[in-house]
Amino acid sequence: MLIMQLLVDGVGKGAIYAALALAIVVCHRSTGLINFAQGEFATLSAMLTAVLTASGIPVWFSLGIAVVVSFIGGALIQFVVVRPTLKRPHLVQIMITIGLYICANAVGQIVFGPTPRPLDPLFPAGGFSLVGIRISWDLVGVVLLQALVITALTLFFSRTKAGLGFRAVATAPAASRVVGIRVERMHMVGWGIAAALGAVAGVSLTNLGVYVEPSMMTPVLVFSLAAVTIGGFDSAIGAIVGGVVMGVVETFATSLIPGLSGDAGMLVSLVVIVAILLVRPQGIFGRERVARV
Amino acid sequence: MTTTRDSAPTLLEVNDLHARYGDARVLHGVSLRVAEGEVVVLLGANGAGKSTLLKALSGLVDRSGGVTFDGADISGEPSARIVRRGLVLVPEGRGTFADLTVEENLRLGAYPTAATRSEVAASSDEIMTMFPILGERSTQRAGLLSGGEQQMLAIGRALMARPRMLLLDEPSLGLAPAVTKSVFETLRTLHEERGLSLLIVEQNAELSLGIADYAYVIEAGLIRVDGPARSIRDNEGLRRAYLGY
Repeated sequence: MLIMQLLVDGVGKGAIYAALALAIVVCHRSTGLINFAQGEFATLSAMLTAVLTASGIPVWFSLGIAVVVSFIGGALIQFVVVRPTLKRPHLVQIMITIGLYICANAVGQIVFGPTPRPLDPLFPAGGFSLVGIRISWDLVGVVLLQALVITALTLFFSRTKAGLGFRAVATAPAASRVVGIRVERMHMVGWGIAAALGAVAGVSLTNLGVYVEPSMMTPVLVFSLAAVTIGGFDSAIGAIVGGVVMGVVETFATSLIPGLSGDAGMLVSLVVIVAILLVRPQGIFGRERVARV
Repeated sequence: MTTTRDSAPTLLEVNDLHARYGDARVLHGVSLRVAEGEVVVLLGANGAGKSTLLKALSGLVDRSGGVTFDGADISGEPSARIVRRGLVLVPEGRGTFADLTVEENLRLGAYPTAATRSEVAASSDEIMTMFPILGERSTQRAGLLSGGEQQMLAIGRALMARPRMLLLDEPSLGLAPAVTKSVFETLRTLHEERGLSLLIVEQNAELSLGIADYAYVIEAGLIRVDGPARSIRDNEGLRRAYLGY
């Protein structure tokens, strides 16, 4: 029974990891860049939601506003900070996202302050018991919310014209320009979508008992990066499966291995990242690029 | 031949075009003209500026000078708008989307146009009928096609934008002679049956002069010689000096 309980708890956490992992994948697929600031962007979104609810706006409505503002903010940051460096070496852009990580964290510290604050719950309190396993409505709601977001996103990428454009830009920017896709605009929108996804991930996390504070997403980012490594940096399905796997693995490891708890749990993701990179560098769901000379 | 050329309405007019590629200036004032329904070939050695000229016409590199297409000044327009006007590039080395399926590649050809979903599907069906090999492989990833099939896909993708004129950059590059021949047959058919204008950049002078009405020879970023394709082909001194055969 303990095992089943841990599994359920792990899936709940995994849903959050999957959501941020998905944001990382979307950003990577549209710009070829791993945004190390993705977690901190999500923190700022959660802070905005907390401030809005504190001023009396209902939490779902606040989340909606935060999603829109995050989309605009993500797109704007891409336009102002990342776009001017697009022709520079890849490393320069990665350093910029690390710089953004530090900036976003500092902005959170200064504007919101270091004191953790709870956020109004999105879902009703309580829960139910199924053959001895406790399942809270929070957990059900968080998993369903991520599932909804992921389904919508998958349909967007696979069924719409803009989604096809994103896939084109991700794999062949030069050819995309030839057919008349505005590559720079796609990069911008990609960063916007990723930031909006991060907002949902950040706010969802507060429904699993985490308070809003400047470093709330730091462990999530680490596990999400591990999830993306498992799943493949360009695979949405991989991000989801990787996220859930990391949530379950973390929950089991921290509960069953004596002495491994709290931040030390992050060691688990390091082990997973190294193991995957050694065995299958493109990730389990990532495809090797097709190249024919 | 010159008389029909001169009396036909102009589709593309390039006037004193300069362009740079990265830090290097590649074009130093190129002027040329393509009439409605005409096949024009642009010959020249490697590095003469042929590819850059086509990219400049498509809005893919920084350029200055006059470019008029169908009466409109397109010298400052972004690539998406130039595609919408019906001037479409088939890039060197095919430039297909290797990770996407053949069918998705075709759909992307219509990306900047206002065509509806069903119009795009209809065009794509039409092109798969024209190139049956693309129809057979519609769900395969483009990177798995042979070089000749990818060239057909690149041409098919360009046709998806319902162009009035194609810019073809080295369509024979890296293809076996028999495949090259069938690519040129296709181009000839497109020209004859659809009245499509073509501006072809080629190193294979013999084949391209065979289907062209008019030819320009570019060297070091400048047009050196121009004239009806037949007279260029028949002028041995010119052939030796610029075309190397």
